[in-house]
Amino acid sequence: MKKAVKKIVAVASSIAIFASVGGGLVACDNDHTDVGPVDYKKGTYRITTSAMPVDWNVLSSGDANDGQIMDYIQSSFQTYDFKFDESKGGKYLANGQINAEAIVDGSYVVQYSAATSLDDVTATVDAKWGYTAAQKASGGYAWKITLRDDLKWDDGSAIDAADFVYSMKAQLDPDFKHRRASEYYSNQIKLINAREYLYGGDYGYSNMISAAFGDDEYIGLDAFTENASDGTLTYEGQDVLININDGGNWGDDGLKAYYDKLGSAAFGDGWPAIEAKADSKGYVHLTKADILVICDMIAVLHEYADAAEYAQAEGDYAYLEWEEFCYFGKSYDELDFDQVGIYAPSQYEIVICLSQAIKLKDDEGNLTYNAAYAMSSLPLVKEDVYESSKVAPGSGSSTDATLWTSTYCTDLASTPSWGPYKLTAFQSDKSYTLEKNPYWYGWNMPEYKNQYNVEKIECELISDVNTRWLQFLQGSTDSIGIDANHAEDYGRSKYAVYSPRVAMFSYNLFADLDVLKTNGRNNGILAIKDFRKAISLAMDRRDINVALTAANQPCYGCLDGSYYYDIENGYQLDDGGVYRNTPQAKKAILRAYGYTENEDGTWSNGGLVNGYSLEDAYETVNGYDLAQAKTLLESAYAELTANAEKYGYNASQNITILFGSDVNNEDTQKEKRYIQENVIDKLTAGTSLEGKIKVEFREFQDWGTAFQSGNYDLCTGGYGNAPFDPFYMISSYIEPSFTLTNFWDVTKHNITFKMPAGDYAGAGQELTMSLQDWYNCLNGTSSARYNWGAGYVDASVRLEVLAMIEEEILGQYYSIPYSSGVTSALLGAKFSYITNDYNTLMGFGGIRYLVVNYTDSEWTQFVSSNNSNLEALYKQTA
Amino acid sequence: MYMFKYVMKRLGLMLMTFCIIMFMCFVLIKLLPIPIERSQGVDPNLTYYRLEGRGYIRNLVYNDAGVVIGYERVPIMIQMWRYIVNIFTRWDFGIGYSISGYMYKPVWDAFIDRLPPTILINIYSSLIGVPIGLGLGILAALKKNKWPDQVINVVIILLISMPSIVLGVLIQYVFCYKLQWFPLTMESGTDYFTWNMFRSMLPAVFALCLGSIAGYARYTRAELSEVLTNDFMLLARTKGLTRGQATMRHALRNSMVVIFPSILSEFIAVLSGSLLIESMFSIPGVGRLYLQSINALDYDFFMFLSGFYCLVSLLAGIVVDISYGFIDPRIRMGAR
Repeated sequence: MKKAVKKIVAVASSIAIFASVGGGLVACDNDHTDVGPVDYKKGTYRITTSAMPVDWNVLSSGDANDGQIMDYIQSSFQTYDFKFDESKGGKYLANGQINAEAIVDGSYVVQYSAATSLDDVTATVDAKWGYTAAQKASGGYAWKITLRDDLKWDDGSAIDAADFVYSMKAQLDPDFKHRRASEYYSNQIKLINAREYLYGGDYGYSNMISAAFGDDEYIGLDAFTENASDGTLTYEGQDVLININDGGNWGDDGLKAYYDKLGSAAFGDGWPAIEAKADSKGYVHLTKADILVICDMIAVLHEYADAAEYAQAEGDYAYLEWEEFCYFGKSYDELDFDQVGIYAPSQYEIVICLSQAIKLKDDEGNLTYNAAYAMSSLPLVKEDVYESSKVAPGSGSSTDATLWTSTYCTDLASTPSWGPYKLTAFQSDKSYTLEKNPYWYGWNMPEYKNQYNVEKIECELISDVNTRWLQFLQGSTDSIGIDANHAEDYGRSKYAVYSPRVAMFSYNLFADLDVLKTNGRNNGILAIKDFRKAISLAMDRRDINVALTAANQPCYGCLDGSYYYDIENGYQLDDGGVYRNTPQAKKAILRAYGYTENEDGTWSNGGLVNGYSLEDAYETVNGYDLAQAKTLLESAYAELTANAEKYGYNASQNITILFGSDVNNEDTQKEKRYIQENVIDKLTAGTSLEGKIKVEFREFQDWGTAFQSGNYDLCTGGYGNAPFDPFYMISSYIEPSFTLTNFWDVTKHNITFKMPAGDYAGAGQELTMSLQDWYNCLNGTSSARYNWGAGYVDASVRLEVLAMIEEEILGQYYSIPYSSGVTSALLGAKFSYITNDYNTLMGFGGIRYLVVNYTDSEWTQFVSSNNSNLEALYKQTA
Repeated sequence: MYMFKYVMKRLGLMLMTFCIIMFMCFVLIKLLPIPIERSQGVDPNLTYYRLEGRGYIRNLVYNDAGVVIGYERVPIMIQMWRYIVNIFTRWDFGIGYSISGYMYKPVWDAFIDRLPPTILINIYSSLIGVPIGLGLGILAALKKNKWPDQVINVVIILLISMPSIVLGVLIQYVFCYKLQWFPLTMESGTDYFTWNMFRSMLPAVFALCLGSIAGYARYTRAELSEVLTNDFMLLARTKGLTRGQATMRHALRNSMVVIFPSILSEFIAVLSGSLLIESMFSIPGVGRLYLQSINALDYDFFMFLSGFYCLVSLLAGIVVDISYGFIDPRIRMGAR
């Protein structure tokens, strides 16, 4: 999941950059038509990368590095911009210069860019989309995007609505199954029938009896429907199959293996006819006769003569057990693309029809933040280039391949642009160059006057970090990330730029006792909560972040300060719209770290903090209490030794905690040493376990799955996503497919909580539900008992529930948060940002607002005058 | 005839060794767990579909919600058989899935594109390293136990004890960063025969050849010192040859029996040593391609490049052995 974080964080961080790249100002307070040109300096922005982009195809890109190119060659329908204070002169000064002084701190505006309008047309779209009267009345399901009429590719060819419809068809093409296809049915923009079209023609299998998933009821032969033509069975529209090579619930061995082993002497002559019907994957559509043969074979495996004899001993089960071998097969009907919720009613109009409403405009008709966030654009590919980039399936060791692939946007020739820059040079694993795209619609817009002063972006791949630093200090590149090794020298430089990023890191402890007992590491103690809590309290999070990261900050909760529960109104709320700043979230943290609320509303922790206000008490939280940790350790040890057999503990052996990661390098070894010396050794010093706990390290290729399987005990996990939806984001710790600690069955972990008063279902009641159910209710999922999703209950109610869930997760100590991501970088003297105040949606202004201090020739002279060594310059502190 | 038989036998053995190594490579890389990408908001089925679509897994199993919960890996032997059949029937070595610029493109094309920088760096390294190494070795041998020999020996010890990566760091810092005689990294582009490109390659060339120079010098000094003390050298001098003539015509030629194969083997060593140097000096060669293919589990790239390195090493061994026979007529390869 670390990789996922890297990707998601990059996507999140690119929001700001992308917003600043593709922005437009159609709906500004003033139209800026009278803004004249300013003779700003122009220059080339030279950067390095440690990994080159691989696939910057908007349909399939998945890696953070792809954004290096992709973000510059695309545009947005709607985009963010800084909010400029009109009382201070607005965006432009009289001479046309950008008025940086007027930027309103923390605020933003949403404006049209490639689109000229966005209209809710739910009430007027065709009846075939199936909207109910209530849906038509509430709106938000169907939106019409009106495009500018001057959109062009970088070769000058025009772009219109049909191109977007073609591109969406390509995006959802079942023959390709593009990586980003699910963005149009899994995220906020859920196009009607998008998933159905994508899956069209597929055939899926599921275990008929899936006891592991809570469905262990046998159906019985009579309940199946017999196909009149060939006698094969179906059940509620699903085919009934067996895989001759797969034992289904029985394990790996299919019946073929049993037959091959024991032969007709044991099983009779029925099986070969079944086997002969198998398709290339080994599946056979079963008839009743086949099933009776299978029943007899299973009876033989149980050492009975046949099913009848087995039935005498075990009853009906003898004629139900076959279902354990079998599968349901379901085919997805192929759909015509005109059933998917997107079409072009005219040359410059696109209509999208969604299965879930989204609010893209507020009651006054202004664009919401989501208009530029969830609906910034739709995929767009250039048809002729895309068609010529298709690659048929099957090559090398992959001849069974069934999916088509595409080389679109993987090199220079296959990369068209409709963004402000275009790719003009690309050398595999070496370098690329982006230059201004003369056909970009934005150049003619008065609102873009005097921006994009970077004429060219040159990037070189340098994977060696020391080489990258030498390049930067020589003045050959213009920015560099500050790593932990350079933080001391350059961390306080006046050229250093710090920006928060949506990324939180936790230490995850594997605590499934059944697995721990048998792993040979003698570490059943991990299943004892006191022990896990002791580790948590032995972590000095400030020191960890200083020692192991370049700029990260301590983190104590499941969600850090980058999560907004109300981004739209944040600038006018006391808590800034940030979840972590709310009283609910602060109280959750205090309670999770052992503070208690007094009757008068003050807080105490049984130590130095006594009678503090909520704010003051919150400021004292550091999650570090070695004395209490040692007490808890002794308690855990007492439990361990008293129940040694239960925990599989051998007192004559050391306890080993295996720390794992996907890489074995200097950083992971340093982290392992840190955990041993600064956490475990300090925790155990002077206790019964002194010197008895050893931390070892091992590299795991598929580290996430390996941890979930208990192959090792401790890992760092990072999460970062959905910065404007903390209610959804908490699923990172709950949903089995996301969380690392999925040994914790959240469907069986019940919590009782009294809901706040109010006018909503469940208000004021004391409810007991599983953690999974609480989460479902909070997000109003389809299976939820109550719908407390966004817009259905007051935000304060949702915050209460979220804080309760967070507190419960923290209280298990399976995931111990310790670090909140902060990016630190040096921006060379050649450039500077228009503002030094970080804006959540605009960053520091990105390339769009980057200020060029030296032209290329001036920079060359400047560097020469410094003997091509800018080390001293960049070490200057602010 | 002896030689022909010998060569055929060696080629046969080489082929067998090659097949065993490639078999092991294929099995081992395919045994590694397939990383399953999971992220919020992304349909996890798509990841499985792509892996199934590539022929790595099959028989996906779904839960009641239609989410893939299991799969079967296509047996490695089946994958290998298809791989071999494709190579021999279609000259198809597969396509890449993760290498920048070669996504879904034939690995052969990528290899051909990326070969020139690697070859050039190594050729330059040999062109510079061999004469300097031999020269230093000859000088040291001729001035044995005198100060030039002592100095050369110290330099040899220094260079030979330092891996090329350390030499690379020193060269980069001193000559590229401090003195700025060369750029820090290789120039972009594919005009490999321009002065700027050549100049930008030199730091990497030096990093590779300094160790080789030390090796050649050491071999040459040792061999030449021994030959120079042989009786036939005295005879040559008594016949009236000058010292230089005797050294060049008789001593050096005899020494080459050992030195020449070492040049060949050094060339091979340089080829593998350039993996790290390519990374350090940002050289877009095949060395880095190999590392990336392993990190990304890009199977077809990995197999192709493993085959390349394996074949080069095995062929070099044969060439070195055969070269003995050409350099020294007294040696008859394969003769009993």
